[in-house]
Amino acid sequence: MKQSDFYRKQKANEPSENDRLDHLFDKLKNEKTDDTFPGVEKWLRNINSQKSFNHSLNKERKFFNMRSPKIKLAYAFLLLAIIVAACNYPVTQQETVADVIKWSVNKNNTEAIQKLQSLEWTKKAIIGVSKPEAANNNIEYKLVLLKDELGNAQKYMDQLKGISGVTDISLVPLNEKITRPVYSVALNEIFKVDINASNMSDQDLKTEIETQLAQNGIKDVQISFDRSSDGKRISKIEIPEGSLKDNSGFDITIKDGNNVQRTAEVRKFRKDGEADRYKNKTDDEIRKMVSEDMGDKNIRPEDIEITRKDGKIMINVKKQGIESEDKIESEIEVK
Amino acid sequence: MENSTDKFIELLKPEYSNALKYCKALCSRRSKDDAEDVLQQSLLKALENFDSLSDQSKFKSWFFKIITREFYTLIRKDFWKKFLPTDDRNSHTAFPEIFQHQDENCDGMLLKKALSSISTKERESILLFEIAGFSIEEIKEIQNERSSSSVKSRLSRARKKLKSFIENEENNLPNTEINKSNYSGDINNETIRLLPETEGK
Repeated sequence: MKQSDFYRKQKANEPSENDRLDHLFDKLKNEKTDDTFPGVEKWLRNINSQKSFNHSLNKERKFFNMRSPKIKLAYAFLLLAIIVAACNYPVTQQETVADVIKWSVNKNNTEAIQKLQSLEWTKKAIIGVSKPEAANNNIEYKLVLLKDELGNAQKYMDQLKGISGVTDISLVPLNEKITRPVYSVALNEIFKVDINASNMSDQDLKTEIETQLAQNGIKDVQISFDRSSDGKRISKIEIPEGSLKDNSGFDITIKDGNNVQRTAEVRKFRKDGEADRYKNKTDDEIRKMVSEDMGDKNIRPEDIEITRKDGKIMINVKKQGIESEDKIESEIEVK
Repeated sequence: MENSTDKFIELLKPEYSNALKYCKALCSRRSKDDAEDVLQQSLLKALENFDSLSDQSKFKSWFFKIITREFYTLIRKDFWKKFLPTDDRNSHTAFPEIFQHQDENCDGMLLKKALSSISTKERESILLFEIAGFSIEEIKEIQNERSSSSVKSRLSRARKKLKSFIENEENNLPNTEINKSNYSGDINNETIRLLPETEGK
């Protein structure tokens, strides 16, 4: 006996509980639909007569036909290739590598020159001095401020403006064209530093970290070292407030023998309306909000350190298991 | 070419009605337009590839296999049409409206609802069995299954689910018996029938 016959027979032998279902199927089967066949037949014949006319068109269409799995694969591949190519597309950026402060003083104005010499920074900096111009006896000074000193430019200019006799004060940025891939541009605000600290003394490592950070404009870093119970060296790096730009950060990987330590810090300054969210919130409430914002359920409440100082709320998140810190600083007055 | 179309139409004619109902019931979760689209695309594909069918005695299973594939293509199309232009192949020749003017009676609606409550594969199996009248062995071939037992168990599972759904639906209807005896199954007729009664009140 055929399996289907067996199944049908078994179905028929079952009590009336299947009757209703069978009745519904029978009703569907007995629906009159044959009257639509002539229309479909006519359509099929029309299609057939147009077939040769549309043959070349169909061929072309078939190539772009999204119903073909091959073309879908090709589309997916193309999309991926475009994304990779776009990310690696070189983008040219103007980057300020230094600022030049220019000013002029009449060579006969000894008082102004003396005042200039009394400024603290003029003693340390290398200042270019041009010969006095014959026409007006003015001496032109040029001070080049490198990347890590750019923040001082305004302060120096203000001091210069305060000295009578100092004229033509101007600030000229020295820009450099840098070409880098798009993804690098996106990540540029967070710089990466890799240090191989094997066989380095604490002092050498400290100097190396300071140098690397200073090259990226971060100075006055507090660096200390601890030893774990198994003798591994643990570096503690503390960045002073204001050293990092808004929403920027660093990622330092220190390879010390078999021990690899990664310290990352990203600062998010929230001076916008979002910061108001923390207003009038208790520490527990802030911890809960931060945990939800970061979308990491593994963060324990004790990993979120909250410090309230001078109307500011400092939230320091230490993720468990990795030596990484995410700092979120909000300028909010706490009532 | 003309002879091949004649032959195709000749072979299609006895299967047409079942194919139509299969399309309609298969698309029970979707619109009538979708059911029409599946039928149209299946007919086109079948006509285009008719010459490749070596054994014309297998036309029925070959055609239903095409319908089934077209149905799955339609499902997948929902995803792809978000990103790619859709292929409107027959804009030059309008396909006759088939399902648009068909009224859905109460039983038809109930079956449609029940069929849409089961999985696509289960729906496909039970419709191939009940509407198209295929044997389990043939369904196994159409569905590319390795064993008949999987088809059998799928059929049995589908029937069980449909039966339970229908029972639940009918038990939840208020005054089911009264409705059944009086109800003509057509919403327009029902309105016409009930209108004088309401006005009399």
